[in-house]
Amino acid sequence: MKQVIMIMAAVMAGLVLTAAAQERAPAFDLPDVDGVRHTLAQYAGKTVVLEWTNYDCPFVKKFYEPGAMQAMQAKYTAQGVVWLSVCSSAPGKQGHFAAEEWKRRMAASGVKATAVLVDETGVAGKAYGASNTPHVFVVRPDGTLAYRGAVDDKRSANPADLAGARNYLSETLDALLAGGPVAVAETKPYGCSVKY
Amino acid sequence: MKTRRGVILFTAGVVLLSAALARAAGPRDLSRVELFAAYEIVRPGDLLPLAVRITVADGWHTYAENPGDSGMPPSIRISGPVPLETAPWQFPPPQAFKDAAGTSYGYEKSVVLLGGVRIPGTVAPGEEIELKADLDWMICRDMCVFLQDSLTLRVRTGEAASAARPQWNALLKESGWMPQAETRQGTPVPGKESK
Repeated sequence: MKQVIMIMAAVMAGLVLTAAAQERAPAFDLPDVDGVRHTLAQYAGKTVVLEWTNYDCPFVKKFYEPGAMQAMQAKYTAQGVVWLSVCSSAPGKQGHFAAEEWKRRMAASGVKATAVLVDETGVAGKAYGASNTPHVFVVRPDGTLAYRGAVDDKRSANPADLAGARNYLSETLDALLAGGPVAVAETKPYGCSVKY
Repeated sequence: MKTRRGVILFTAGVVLLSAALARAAGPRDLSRVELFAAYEIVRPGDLLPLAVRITVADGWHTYAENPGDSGMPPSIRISGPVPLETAPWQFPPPQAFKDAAGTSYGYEKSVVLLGGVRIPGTVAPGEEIELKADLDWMICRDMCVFLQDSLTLRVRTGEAASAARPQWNALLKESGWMPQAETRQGTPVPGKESK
């Protein structure tokens, strides 16, 4: 009897720990560059990447100019991942564009994200605590956060530093797609400040 | 004939326009870097002190070794005709900047970073050595600009290490690395004063 109670206590402690580690991703409802609205709820059951972006930030350019971000977008969306780039630049601030300019920029750099969401009030950025560009969040199919932080471990804006960097975003997505545990759940993001 | 003149006028217009744009918004107007060596002549086997000065336009700042919540530290890679041992770069105390990401640390106006390179003992005296510095640095205000530049500098090897050039001492004083009020008998060595 004592043993059963101890096991039950251990299981409950485990559940509490799991619940703490598996924080729920905040809900959002944002338009994309065509005005179509996207919510986190509509992607329940899928792995979702939220990639805070500002196309004119040099740390973002580091990933887009050599095509590294687009390659990840193409690779993972082909495996069923939903990839949402989010821009929280306020009107008049760097990275905020009119719809036509968004479309021109996305076409020019060959963006392969599922959608680019415009968060000009910053409501979604603040809910997630997005502080930098790039700053990425990975949401599990059950709506819990699997990862938040930097794309990789090289605090640099030089595309030459992509080679040899540890890519936390790819690691997280590969682990989730393989059904395995995520090794690193949080890192300190680096980059420009979000232009709220 | 008319077409050709049109092309020439158009080309001239584009060139003038490009020049005007470059003058208006060239990143080189926002920030530049310079490389300095302490000695003109260095004895093989000795450490040659080096300095990099980063100058930024008003309103902008560059970053410290630990930049905090945004930005990036400057990267300086020294190379030469032979593999060289380099000293870690030293950064002066930075100031704090607040932005949406939190607090970052860096420098306004200009900063001098100190480093060094050991000239191998295998190099013969009387040789000229070209040192190259490849720099990556970031400047920000309400937006950020990533800059890259390569600088070169020549030193000669000699039997005895020269004393520091006057310009070197001036640079250290101006940047706060050496006390301004130096006694005639010599500079106090930091960290060695008696308690």
